[in-house]
Amino acid sequence: MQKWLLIVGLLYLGILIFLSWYSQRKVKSQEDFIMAGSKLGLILGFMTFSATLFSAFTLMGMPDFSRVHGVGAWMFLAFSDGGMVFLIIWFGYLLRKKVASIEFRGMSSLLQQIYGIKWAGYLYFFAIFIFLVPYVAIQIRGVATFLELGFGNLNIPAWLWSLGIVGFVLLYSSAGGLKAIVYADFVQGTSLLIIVWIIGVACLQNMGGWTEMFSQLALKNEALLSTPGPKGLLTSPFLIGSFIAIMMIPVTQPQLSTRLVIMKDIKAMNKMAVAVGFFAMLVIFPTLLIGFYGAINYPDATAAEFIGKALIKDQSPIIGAFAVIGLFAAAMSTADSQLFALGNELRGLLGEKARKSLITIRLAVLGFAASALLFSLFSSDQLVLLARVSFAGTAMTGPLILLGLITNKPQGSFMVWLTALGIVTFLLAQAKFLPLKVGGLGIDLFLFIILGLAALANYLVMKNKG
Amino acid sequence: MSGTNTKRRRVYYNLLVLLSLLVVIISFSPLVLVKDKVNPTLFNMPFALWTNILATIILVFFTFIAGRLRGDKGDFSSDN
Repeated sequence: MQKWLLIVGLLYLGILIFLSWYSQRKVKSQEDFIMAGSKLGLILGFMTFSATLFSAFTLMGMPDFSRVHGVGAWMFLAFSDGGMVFLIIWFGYLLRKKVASIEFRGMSSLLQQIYGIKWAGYLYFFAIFIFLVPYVAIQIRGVATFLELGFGNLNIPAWLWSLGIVGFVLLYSSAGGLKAIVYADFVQGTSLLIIVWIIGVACLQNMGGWTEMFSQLALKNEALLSTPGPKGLLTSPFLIGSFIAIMMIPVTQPQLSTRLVIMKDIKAMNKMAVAVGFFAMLVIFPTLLIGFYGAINYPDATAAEFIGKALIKDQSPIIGAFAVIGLFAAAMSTADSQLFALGNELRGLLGEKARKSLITIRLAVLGFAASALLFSLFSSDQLVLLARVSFAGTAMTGPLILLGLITNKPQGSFMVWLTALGIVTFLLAQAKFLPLKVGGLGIDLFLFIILGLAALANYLVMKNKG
Repeated sequence: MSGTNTKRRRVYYNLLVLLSLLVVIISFSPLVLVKDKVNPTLFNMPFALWTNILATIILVFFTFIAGRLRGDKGDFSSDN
Protein backbone atom coordinates (compact mmCIF):
# COMPACT_ATOMS: atom_id res chain seq x y z
CA MET A 1 0.00 0.00 0.00
CA GLN A 2 2.90 2.34 0.68
CA LYS A 3 3.69 2.52 -3.03
CA TRP A 4 0.14 3.71 -3.70
CA LEU A 5 0.25 6.05 -0.74
CA LEU A 6 3.37 7.67 -2.13
CA ILE A 7 1.83 8.06 -5.59
CA VAL A 8 -1.54 9.40 -4.37
CA GLY A 9 0.10 11.55 -1.67
CA LEU A 10 2.53 13.19 -4.08
CA LEU A 11 -0.26 13.76 -6.58
CA TYR A 12 -2.42 15.38 -3.92
CA LEU A 13 0.38 17.57 -2.57
CA GLY A 14 1.32 18.51 -6.12
CA ILE A 15 -2.24 19.68 -6.78
CA LEU A 16 -2.24 21.71 -3.55
CA ILE A 17 1.08 23.35 -4.36
CA PHE A 18 -0.12 24.15 -7.89
CA LEU A 19 -3.36 25.68 -6.57
CA SER A 20 -1.43 27.71 -4.03
CA TRP A 21 0.87 29.05 -6.76
CA TYR A 22 -2.07 29.68 -9.10
CA SER A 23 -4.03 31.59 -6.43
CA GLN A 24 -0.98 33.60 -5.43
CA ARG A 25 -0.68 34.78 -9.02
CA LYS A 26 -4.32 35.82 -9.01
CA VAL A 27 -4.12 37.76 -5.75
CA LYS A 28 -3.98 41.40 -6.81
CA SER A 29 -5.27 43.09 -3.69
CA GLN A 30 -5.88 42.68 0.01
CA GLU A 31 -9.54 41.96 -0.83
CA ASP A 32 -8.44 39.07 -3.06
CA PHE A 33 -6.26 37.61 -0.30
CA ILE A 34 -8.74 37.92 2.55
CA MET A 35 -12.14 37.60 0.83
CA ALA A 36 -11.16 35.63 -2.32
CA GLY A 37 -12.43 38.52 -4.45
CA SER A 38 -15.99 38.13 -3.01
CA LYS A 39 -17.38 36.75 -6.28
CA LEU A 40 -17.78 33.04 -5.70
CA GLY A 41 -20.16 31.23 -8.02
CA LEU A 42 -22.35 28.25 -7.20
CA ILE A 43 -19.88 25.40 -7.75
CA LEU A 44 -16.86 26.86 -5.94
CA GLY A 45 -19.14 28.33 -3.27
CA PHE A 46 -20.90 25.12 -2.39
CA MET A 47 -17.73 23.04 -2.50
CA THR A 48 -15.81 25.38 -0.22
CA PHE A 49 -18.76 25.61 2.18
CA SER A 50 -19.20 21.82 2.19
CA ALA A 51 -15.52 21.00 2.55
CA THR A 52 -15.24 23.46 5.42
CA LEU A 53 -18.31 22.00 7.10
CA PHE A 54 -17.44 18.33 6.61
CA SER A 55 -14.08 17.31 7.87
CA ALA A 56 -12.18 14.58 9.66
CA PHE A 57 -15.14 14.77 12.00
CA THR A 58 -17.25 13.36 9.16
CA LEU A 59 -14.87 10.78 7.73
CA MET A 60 -13.57 9.46 11.07
CA GLY A 61 -16.08 10.64 13.64
CA MET A 62 -19.38 9.80 11.99
CA PRO A 63 -18.60 6.14 11.14
CA ASP A 64 -17.54 5.63 14.74
CA PHE A 65 -20.59 7.50 16.03
CA SER A 66 -23.00 5.33 14.00
CA ARG A 67 -21.06 2.19 14.96
CA VAL A 68 -21.68 2.97 18.61
CA HIS A 69 -25.07 4.73 18.53
CA GLY A 70 -26.75 3.24 15.44
CA VAL A 71 -29.20 4.77 12.97
CA GLY A 72 -29.90 7.87 15.13
CA ALA A 73 -26.53 9.21 13.88
CA TRP A 74 -28.38 10.35 10.76
CA MET A 75 -30.69 12.53 12.78
CA PHE A 76 -27.80 13.89 14.82
CA LEU A 77 -26.01 15.30 11.78
CA ALA A 78 -27.87 15.03 8.46
CA PHE A 79 -31.24 16.24 9.74
CA SER A 80 -29.53 19.08 11.61
CA ASP A 81 -27.76 20.03 8.39
CA GLY A 82 -31.18 20.13 6.70
CA GLY A 83 -32.25 22.73 9.28
CA MET A 84 -28.98 24.59 8.78
CA VAL A 85 -29.39 25.02 5.02
CA PHE A 86 -32.95 26.26 5.50
CA LEU A 87 -31.66 28.87 7.95
CA ILE A 88 -28.98 30.00 5.46
CA ILE A 89 -31.64 31.40 3.11
CA TRP A 90 -32.82 33.84 5.78
CA PHE A 91 -29.58 34.44 7.68
CA GLY A 92 -27.49 34.85 4.54
CA TYR A 93 -29.85 37.53 3.28
CA LEU A 94 -29.74 39.39 6.62
CA LEU A 95 -25.96 39.21 6.79
CA ARG A 96 -25.38 40.31 3.21
CA LYS A 97 -27.87 43.16 3.61
CA LYS A 98 -26.03 44.36 6.70
CA VAL A 99 -22.56 44.18 5.18
CA ALA A 100 -23.78 46.04 2.11
CA SER A 101 -23.92 49.14 4.33
CA ILE A 102 -21.02 48.33 6.68
CA GLU A 103 -17.54 47.25 5.54
CA PHE A 104 -17.14 43.54 6.37
CA ARG A 105 -13.96 42.94 8.33
CA GLY A 106 -15.13 39.77 10.06
CA MET A 107 -17.97 39.02 12.45
CA SER A 108 -16.16 40.42 15.53
CA SER A 109 -15.74 43.78 13.89
CA LEU A 110 -19.31 43.66 12.53
CA LEU A 111 -20.72 43.08 16.03
CA GLN A 112 -18.67 46.00 17.35
CA GLN A 113 -20.17 48.24 14.71
CA ILE A 114 -23.74 46.97 15.13
CA TYR A 115 -23.82 47.19 18.92
CA GLY A 116 -21.48 50.17 19.19
CA ILE A 117 -19.66 48.31 21.97
CA LYS A 118 -16.08 47.08 21.61
CA TRP A 119 -16.74 44.22 24.01
CA ALA A 120 -19.32 42.67 21.64
CA GLY A 121 -16.48 41.92 19.20
CA TYR A 122 -14.06 40.80 21.91
CA LEU A 123 -16.68 38.44 23.33
CA TYR A 124 -17.34 36.87 19.92
CA PHE A 125 -13.63 36.49 19.32
CA PHE A 126 -13.15 34.91 22.74
CA ALA A 127 -15.97 32.43 22.02
CA ILE A 128 -14.63 31.34 18.65
CA PHE A 129 -11.06 31.14 19.95
CA ILE A 130 -11.98 29.06 22.97
CA PHE A 131 -14.19 26.67 20.97
CA LEU A 132 -12.63 26.59 17.50
CA VAL A 133 -8.98 26.08 18.39
CA PRO A 134 -9.82 22.84 20.27
CA TYR A 135 -12.04 21.83 17.35
CA VAL A 136 -9.18 22.27 14.89
CA ALA A 137 -6.91 20.47 17.35
CA ILE A 138 -9.11 17.40 17.76
CA GLN A 139 -9.32 16.95 14.01
CA ILE A 140 -5.58 17.17 13.61
CA ARG A 141 -5.06 14.82 16.52
CA GLY A 142 -7.69 12.38 15.27
CA VAL A 143 -5.98 12.02 11.92
CA ALA A 144 -2.46 12.04 13.39
CA THR A 145 -3.25 9.32 15.94
CA PHE A 146 -4.81 7.22 13.23
CA LEU A 147 -1.77 7.67 10.98
CA GLU A 148 0.61 6.83 13.82
CA LEU A 149 -1.27 3.57 14.47
CA GLY A 150 -1.76 2.74 10.81
CA PHE A 151 1.88 3.32 9.88
CA GLY A 152 3.63 2.05 12.99
CA ASN A 153 6.42 0.61 10.84
CA LEU A 154 7.43 4.12 9.74
CA ASN A 155 8.03 5.15 13.38
CA ILE A 156 6.57 8.61 12.84
CA PRO A 157 5.02 9.90 16.10
CA ALA A 158 1.55 11.54 16.11
CA TRP A 159 2.98 15.00 16.81
CA LEU A 160 5.08 14.83 13.66
CA TRP A 161 2.04 13.88 11.57
CA SER A 162 0.21 16.84 13.20
CA LEU A 163 3.09 19.13 12.33
CA GLY A 164 2.94 17.92 8.73
CA ILE A 165 -0.79 18.69 8.44
CA VAL A 166 -0.46 22.14 10.00
CA GLY A 167 2.66 22.86 7.94
CA PHE A 168 0.86 22.24 4.64
CA VAL A 169 -2.16 24.25 5.74
CA LEU A 170 0.11 27.19 6.54
CA LEU A 171 2.02 26.79 3.30
CA TYR A 172 -0.89 27.19 0.93
CA SER A 173 -3.11 29.46 3.00
CA SER A 174 -0.37 32.01 3.68
CA ALA A 175 0.68 31.97 0.04
CA GLY A 176 -2.65 32.29 -1.74
CA GLY A 177 -4.99 33.46 1.04
CA LEU A 178 -8.68 32.56 1.02
CA LYS A 179 -8.62 31.95 -2.72
CA ALA A 180 -6.07 29.15 -2.30
CA ILE A 181 -8.22 27.72 0.51
CA VAL A 182 -11.32 27.83 -1.67
CA TYR A 183 -9.58 26.02 -4.55
CA ALA A 184 -8.08 23.48 -2.15
CA ASP A 185 -11.54 22.99 -0.63
CA PHE A 186 -12.85 22.10 -4.05
CA VAL A 187 -10.29 19.31 -4.39
CA GLN A 188 -10.70 18.22 -0.77
CA GLY A 189 -14.52 18.18 -0.87
CA THR A 190 -14.56 16.17 -4.09
CA SER A 191 -11.99 13.71 -2.69
CA LEU A 192 -13.98 13.33 0.51
CA LEU A 193 -17.20 12.53 -1.34
CA ILE A 194 -15.62 10.01 -3.72
CA ILE A 195 -13.57 8.26 -1.05
CA VAL A 196 -16.38 7.96 1.47
CA TRP A 197 -18.64 6.40 -1.19
CA ILE A 198 -16.01 3.93 -2.41
CA ILE A 199 -15.40 2.75 1.16
CA GLY A 200 -19.11 2.81 2.03
CA VAL A 201 -20.00 0.60 -0.95
CA ALA A 202 -17.07 -1.75 -0.21
CA CYS A 203 -18.31 -2.08 3.40
CA LEU A 204 -21.86 -2.74 2.17
CA GLN A 205 -20.62 -5.52 -0.12
CA ASN A 206 -18.61 -7.01 2.75
CA MET A 207 -21.78 -7.14 4.85
CA GLY A 208 -23.57 -9.10 2.13
CA GLY A 209 -25.71 -6.24 0.77
CA TRP A 210 -28.44 -3.92 1.96
CA THR A 211 -30.96 -6.40 3.41
CA GLU A 212 -28.32 -8.56 5.01
CA MET A 213 -26.75 -5.51 6.66
CA PHE A 214 -29.93 -4.71 8.62
CA SER A 215 -30.48 -8.39 9.49
CA GLN A 216 -26.95 -8.63 10.89
CA LEU A 217 -27.34 -5.37 12.81
CA ALA A 218 -30.54 -6.67 14.39
CA LEU A 219 -28.78 -9.88 15.40
CA LYS A 220 -25.78 -8.01 16.80
CA ASN A 221 -27.71 -5.43 18.79
CA GLU A 222 -31.28 -4.46 17.95
CA ALA A 223 -30.90 -1.16 19.81
CA LEU A 224 -28.68 0.04 16.91
CA LEU A 225 -31.80 0.19 14.73
CA SER A 226 -33.66 2.79 16.77
CA THR A 227 -33.19 5.80 18.99
CA PRO A 228 -31.82 6.46 21.57
CA GLY A 229 -29.31 3.77 20.52
CA PRO A 230 -27.48 1.14 22.58
CA LYS A 231 -25.98 3.67 25.01
CA GLY A 232 -29.16 5.72 25.35
CA LEU A 233 -27.37 8.91 24.20
CA LEU A 234 -29.63 9.99 21.33
CA THR A 235 -32.58 11.21 23.37
CA SER A 236 -34.86 14.09 22.31
CA PRO A 237 -33.10 16.74 24.49
CA PHE A 238 -29.67 15.67 23.18
CA LEU A 239 -30.84 15.68 19.56
CA ILE A 240 -32.67 19.01 19.88
CA GLY A 241 -29.59 20.59 21.50
CA SER A 242 -27.45 19.19 18.67
CA PHE A 243 -29.93 20.40 16.05
CA ILE A 244 -29.77 23.99 17.35
CA ALA A 245 -25.98 23.91 17.74
CA ILE A 246 -25.41 22.57 14.21
CA MET A 247 -28.08 24.77 12.62
CA MET A 248 -26.33 27.81 14.12
CA ILE A 249 -22.90 26.98 12.65
CA PRO A 250 -23.13 29.41 9.67
CA VAL A 251 -24.38 32.11 12.04
CA THR A 252 -21.75 31.69 14.71
CA GLN A 253 -18.64 30.29 13.04
CA PRO A 254 -16.73 32.88 11.00
CA GLN A 255 -15.27 30.50 8.42
CA LEU A 256 -18.82 29.79 7.22
CA SER A 257 -20.34 33.27 7.72
CA THR A 258 -17.51 34.60 5.55
CA ARG A 259 -18.42 32.12 2.81
CA LEU A 260 -21.95 33.50 2.71
CA VAL A 261 -20.59 37.02 2.32
CA ILE A 262 -18.16 36.15 -0.48
CA MET A 263 -20.79 34.51 -2.69
CA LYS A 264 -21.34 36.43 -5.93
CA ASP A 265 -24.98 37.26 -5.18
CA ILE A 266 -28.06 36.11 -3.24
CA LYS A 267 -29.16 33.86 -6.09
CA ALA A 268 -25.87 31.94 -6.02
CA MET A 269 -26.01 31.79 -2.21
CA ASN A 270 -29.53 30.32 -2.21
CA LYS A 271 -28.58 27.68 -4.75
CA MET A 272 -25.46 26.96 -2.75
CA ALA A 273 -27.59 26.28 0.36
CA VAL A 274 -29.63 23.66 -1.51
CA ALA A 275 -26.48 22.08 -2.94
CA VAL A 276 -24.91 21.89 0.54
CA GLY A 277 -28.07 20.13 1.77
CA PHE A 278 -27.72 17.48 -0.94
CA PHE A 279 -23.99 17.20 -0.35
CA ALA A 280 -24.64 16.65 3.37
CA MET A 281 -26.98 13.75 2.66
CA LEU A 282 -24.61 12.28 0.09
CA VAL A 283 -21.59 12.44 2.35
CA ILE A 284 -23.26 11.31 5.59
CA PHE A 285 -25.12 8.30 4.19
CA PRO A 286 -22.00 6.22 3.38
CA THR A 287 -20.50 7.07 6.79
CA LEU A 288 -23.47 5.21 8.28
CA LEU A 289 -22.69 2.18 6.10
CA ILE A 290 -19.09 2.22 7.33
CA GLY A 291 -20.36 2.56 10.90
CA PHE A 292 -22.75 -0.37 10.52
CA TYR A 293 -19.90 -2.43 9.10
CA GLY A 294 -17.96 -1.61 12.27
CA ALA A 295 -20.92 -2.44 14.51
CA ILE A 296 -21.10 -5.90 12.95
CA ASN A 297 -17.39 -6.66 12.64
CA TYR A 298 -15.62 -4.54 15.25
CA PRO A 299 -18.14 -3.76 17.99
CA ASP A 300 -15.56 -3.75 20.79
CA ALA A 301 -12.62 -2.07 19.03
CA THR A 302 -11.42 1.41 19.98
CA ALA A 303 -12.32 4.27 17.62
CA ALA A 304 -8.81 4.38 16.12
CA GLU A 305 -8.62 0.58 15.69
CA PHE A 306 -12.00 0.48 13.98
CA ILE A 307 -11.21 3.36 11.61
CA GLY A 308 -7.81 1.85 10.80
CA LYS A 309 -9.42 -1.46 9.87
CA ALA A 310 -12.55 -0.18 8.11
CA LEU A 311 -10.86 2.56 6.09
CA ILE A 312 -7.50 0.97 5.35
CA LYS A 313 -6.71 -2.59 6.37
CA ASP A 314 -9.95 -4.11 5.04
CA GLN A 315 -9.70 -2.20 1.76
CA SER A 316 -7.56 -2.81 -1.30
CA PRO A 317 -4.16 -1.02 -1.22
CA ILE A 318 -5.21 1.68 -3.66
CA ILE A 319 -8.46 2.47 -1.78
CA GLY A 320 -6.55 2.44 1.50
CA ALA A 321 -4.08 4.95 0.06
CA PHE A 322 -6.94 7.18 -1.11
CA ALA A 323 -8.53 6.89 2.35
CA VAL A 324 -5.34 8.12 4.06
CA ILE A 325 -5.09 11.06 1.68
CA GLY A 326 -8.82 11.66 2.13
CA LEU A 327 -8.30 11.92 5.87
CA PHE A 328 -5.43 14.34 5.36
CA ALA A 329 -7.66 16.34 3.02
CA ALA A 330 -10.59 16.31 5.43
CA ALA A 331 -8.49 17.52 8.35
CA MET A 332 -6.86 20.22 6.25
CA SER A 333 -10.03 21.51 4.60
CA THR A 334 -11.55 22.46 7.93
CA ALA A 335 -8.36 23.46 9.71
CA ASP A 336 -7.27 25.86 6.95
CA SER A 337 -10.60 27.71 6.87
CA GLN A 338 -10.91 27.95 10.64
CA LEU A 339 -7.35 29.14 11.19
CA PHE A 340 -7.67 31.68 8.39
CA ALA A 341 -11.02 32.89 9.76
CA LEU A 342 -9.55 33.27 13.25
CA GLY A 343 -6.70 35.29 11.77
CA ASN A 344 -9.13 37.48 9.87
CA GLU A 345 -11.29 38.03 12.96
CA LEU A 346 -8.26 39.16 14.97
CA ARG A 347 -7.20 41.46 12.16
CA GLY A 348 -10.69 43.00 12.13
CA LEU A 349 -10.34 43.89 15.80
CA LEU A 350 -6.99 45.62 15.35
CA GLY A 351 -6.31 49.23 14.47
CA GLU A 352 -6.28 50.66 10.96
CA LYS A 353 -2.51 50.30 10.45
CA ALA A 354 -2.33 46.63 11.48
CA ARG A 355 -5.46 45.93 9.46
CA LYS A 356 -3.94 47.17 6.24
CA SER A 357 -1.01 44.78 6.43
CA LEU A 358 -1.27 41.19 5.26
CA ILE A 359 1.57 40.31 7.62
CA THR A 360 -0.90 40.70 10.49
CA ILE A 361 -3.22 38.00 9.22
CA ARG A 362 -0.31 35.72 8.30
CA LEU A 363 1.16 36.06 11.80
CA ALA A 364 -2.25 35.56 13.40
CA VAL A 365 -2.89 32.38 11.38
CA LEU A 366 0.57 31.13 12.39
CA GLY A 367 -0.17 31.86 16.06
CA PHE A 368 -3.51 30.07 15.97
CA ALA A 369 -1.98 27.12 14.13
CA ALA A 370 0.65 26.84 16.86
CA SER A 371 -2.09 26.97 19.54
CA ALA A 372 -4.07 24.24 17.76
CA LEU A 373 -0.94 22.12 17.37
CA LEU A 374 -0.17 22.47 21.07
CA PHE A 375 -3.73 21.66 22.06
CA SER A 376 -3.77 18.62 19.75
CA LEU A 377 -1.06 17.01 21.89
CA PHE A 378 -3.42 16.88 24.87
CA SER A 379 -6.93 16.45 23.42
CA SER A 380 -8.99 13.26 23.56
CA ASP A 381 -10.07 11.10 20.60
CA GLN A 382 -13.84 11.48 21.04
CA LEU A 383 -14.18 13.44 17.79
CA VAL A 384 -17.94 13.77 17.48
CA LEU A 385 -18.73 14.58 21.08
CA LEU A 386 -15.91 17.15 21.31
CA ALA A 387 -17.07 18.66 18.01
CA ARG A 388 -20.56 18.90 19.44
CA VAL A 389 -19.22 20.85 22.45
CA SER A 390 -17.47 23.17 20.01
CA PHE A 391 -20.67 23.70 17.96
CA ALA A 392 -22.77 24.26 21.10
CA GLY A 393 -20.21 26.66 22.58
CA THR A 394 -20.07 28.92 19.54
CA ALA A 395 -23.86 28.65 19.17
CA MET A 396 -24.19 30.64 22.43
CA THR A 397 -23.39 33.75 20.39
CA GLY A 398 -26.22 32.99 17.91
CA PRO A 399 -29.01 35.05 19.55
CA LEU A 400 -26.62 38.01 19.95
CA ILE A 401 -25.69 37.91 16.25
CA LEU A 402 -29.25 37.43 14.98
CA LEU A 403 -30.56 40.25 17.19
CA GLY A 404 -27.91 42.58 15.80
CA LEU A 405 -28.77 41.66 12.22
CA ILE A 406 -32.57 41.77 12.24
CA THR A 407 -32.82 45.40 13.25
CA ASN A 408 -31.14 48.69 12.52
CA LYS A 409 -32.08 50.11 15.92
CA PRO A 410 -29.43 50.18 18.67
CA GLN A 411 -29.97 47.16 20.93
CA GLY A 412 -28.02 48.23 23.99
CA SER A 413 -25.50 46.12 25.87
CA PHE A 414 -27.81 43.73 27.76
CA MET A 415 -27.44 40.82 25.30
CA VAL A 416 -23.66 41.25 25.14
CA TRP A 417 -23.31 40.71 28.88
CA LEU A 418 -25.95 37.98 29.03
CA THR A 419 -24.16 36.09 26.23
CA ALA A 420 -20.90 36.46 28.15
CA LEU A 421 -22.61 34.98 31.19
CA GLY A 422 -24.03 32.16 29.04
CA ILE A 423 -20.60 31.28 27.64
CA VAL A 424 -19.00 31.30 31.11
CA THR A 425 -21.83 29.11 32.44
CA PHE A 426 -21.40 26.68 29.55
CA LEU A 427 -17.64 26.50 30.11
CA LEU A 428 -18.04 25.97 33.86
CA ALA A 429 -20.53 23.16 33.17
CA GLN A 430 -18.10 21.49 30.75
CA ALA A 431 -15.42 21.72 33.44
CA LYS A 432 -17.93 20.05 35.85
CA PHE A 433 -18.05 23.07 38.20
CA LEU A 434 -21.75 23.42 37.32
CA PRO A 435 -24.29 20.69 36.49
CA LEU A 436 -24.50 19.53 32.86
CA LYS A 437 -28.29 19.23 33.14
CA VAL A 438 -30.93 21.70 34.28
CA GLY A 439 -34.45 20.36 34.83
CA GLY A 440 -33.90 17.39 32.50
CA LEU A 441 -32.45 19.60 29.73
CA GLY A 442 -28.82 19.65 28.72
CA ILE A 443 -27.07 22.86 29.79
CA ASP A 444 -26.62 23.85 26.13
CA LEU A 445 -30.31 23.56 25.29
CA PHE A 446 -31.22 25.35 28.52
CA LEU A 447 -28.88 28.25 27.68
CA PHE A 448 -30.10 28.41 24.04
CA ILE A 449 -33.66 28.83 25.33
CA ILE A 450 -32.71 31.52 27.88
CA LEU A 451 -30.56 33.47 25.40
CA GLY A 452 -33.15 33.12 22.61
CA LEU A 453 -35.98 34.40 24.82
CA ALA A 454 -33.78 37.21 26.17
CA ALA A 455 -32.92 38.32 22.61
CA LEU A 456 -36.61 38.34 21.70
CA ALA A 457 -37.49 40.36 24.84
CA ASN A 458 -34.61 42.77 24.12
CA TYR A 459 -35.90 43.27 20.58
CA LEU A 460 -39.48 43.96 21.72
CA VAL A 461 -38.39 46.37 24.46
CA MET A 462 -36.18 48.34 22.08
CA LYS A 463 -38.90 48.36 19.43
CA ASN A 464 -41.45 49.78 21.87
CA LYS A 465 -39.00 52.44 23.03
CA GLY A 466 -39.68 54.05 19.67
CA MET B 1 -49.21 44.18 -9.49
CA SER B 2 -45.59 43.69 -8.44
CA GLY B 3 -46.47 44.69 -4.86
CA THR B 4 -49.23 42.08 -4.72
CA ASN B 5 -46.83 39.45 -6.02
CA THR B 6 -44.25 40.37 -3.38
CA LYS B 7 -46.90 40.18 -0.68
CA ARG B 8 -48.06 36.77 -1.90
CA ARG B 9 -44.50 35.45 -1.96
CA ARG B 10 -43.98 36.68 1.60
CA VAL B 11 -47.13 34.88 2.76
CA TYR B 12 -46.07 31.63 1.06
CA TYR B 13 -42.61 31.96 2.57
CA ASN B 14 -44.02 32.43 6.06
CA LEU B 15 -46.21 29.38 5.53
CA LEU B 16 -43.15 27.44 4.44
CA VAL B 17 -41.30 28.48 7.61
CA LEU B 18 -44.26 27.21 9.66
CA LEU B 19 -44.30 23.96 7.71
CA SER B 20 -40.57 23.51 8.28
CA LEU B 21 -41.06 24.09 11.99
CA LEU B 22 -43.80 21.47 11.93
CA VAL B 23 -41.45 18.95 10.25
CA VAL B 24 -38.82 19.65 12.91
CA ILE B 25 -41.30 19.38 15.79
CA ILE B 26 -42.76 16.12 14.47
CA SER B 27 -39.27 14.71 13.94
CA PHE B 28 -38.37 15.32 17.57
CA SER B 29 -41.77 14.29 18.92
CA PRO B 30 -42.73 10.86 20.31
CA LEU B 31 -44.43 10.25 16.95
CA VAL B 32 -41.01 9.64 15.40
CA LEU B 33 -38.55 9.29 18.27
CA VAL B 34 -40.01 6.16 19.79
CA LYS B 35 -37.71 4.11 21.99
CA ASP B 36 -36.75 0.79 20.35
CA LYS B 37 -39.27 1.18 17.52
CA VAL B 38 -38.02 -0.56 14.37
CA ASN B 39 -41.23 -1.18 12.41
CA PRO B 40 -42.67 -0.24 9.98
CA THR B 41 -39.61 -0.55 7.79
CA LEU B 42 -39.15 0.92 4.32
CA PHE B 43 -36.75 -0.77 1.89
CA ASN B 44 -35.57 -2.69 4.96
CA MET B 45 -34.61 0.55 6.68
CA PRO B 46 -35.74 0.79 10.30
CA PHE B 47 -38.40 3.36 11.17
CA ALA B 48 -36.06 5.92 12.78
CA LEU B 49 -33.77 5.94 9.74
CA TRP B 50 -36.25 6.22 6.87
CA THR B 51 -38.44 8.80 8.63
CA ASN B 52 -35.40 10.97 9.29
CA ILE B 53 -34.05 10.61 5.78
CA LEU B 54 -37.48 11.64 4.50
CA ALA B 55 -37.62 14.61 6.90
CA THR B 56 -34.14 15.73 5.76
CA ILE B 57 -35.12 15.53 2.09
CA ILE B 58 -38.23 17.60 2.88
CA LEU B 59 -36.14 20.28 4.64
CA VAL B 60 -33.71 20.51 1.72
CA PHE B 61 -36.64 20.71 -0.72
CA PHE B 62 -38.17 23.48 1.42
CA THR B 63 -34.81 25.27 1.26
CA PHE B 64 -35.05 25.22 -2.53
CA ILE B 65 -38.62 26.58 -2.43
CA ALA B 66 -37.65 29.22 0.17
CA GLY B 67 -34.84 30.45 -2.08
CA ARG B 68 -37.25 30.69 -5.03
CA LEU B 69 -39.85 32.56 -3.00
CA ARG B 70 -37.35 35.08 -1.66
CA GLY B 71 -36.17 35.75 -5.21
CA ASP B 72 -32.79 36.69 -6.64
CA LYS B 73 -32.46 39.68 -4.33
CA GLY B 74 -33.74 37.84 -1.26
CA ASP B 75 -36.38 40.49 -0.59
CA PHE B 76 -39.38 38.68 -2.21
CA SER B 77 -39.32 40.92 -5.28
CA SER B 78 -40.34 38.91 -8.35
CA ASP B 79 -37.49 39.72 -10.70
CA ASN B 80 -36.14 36.20 -11.02
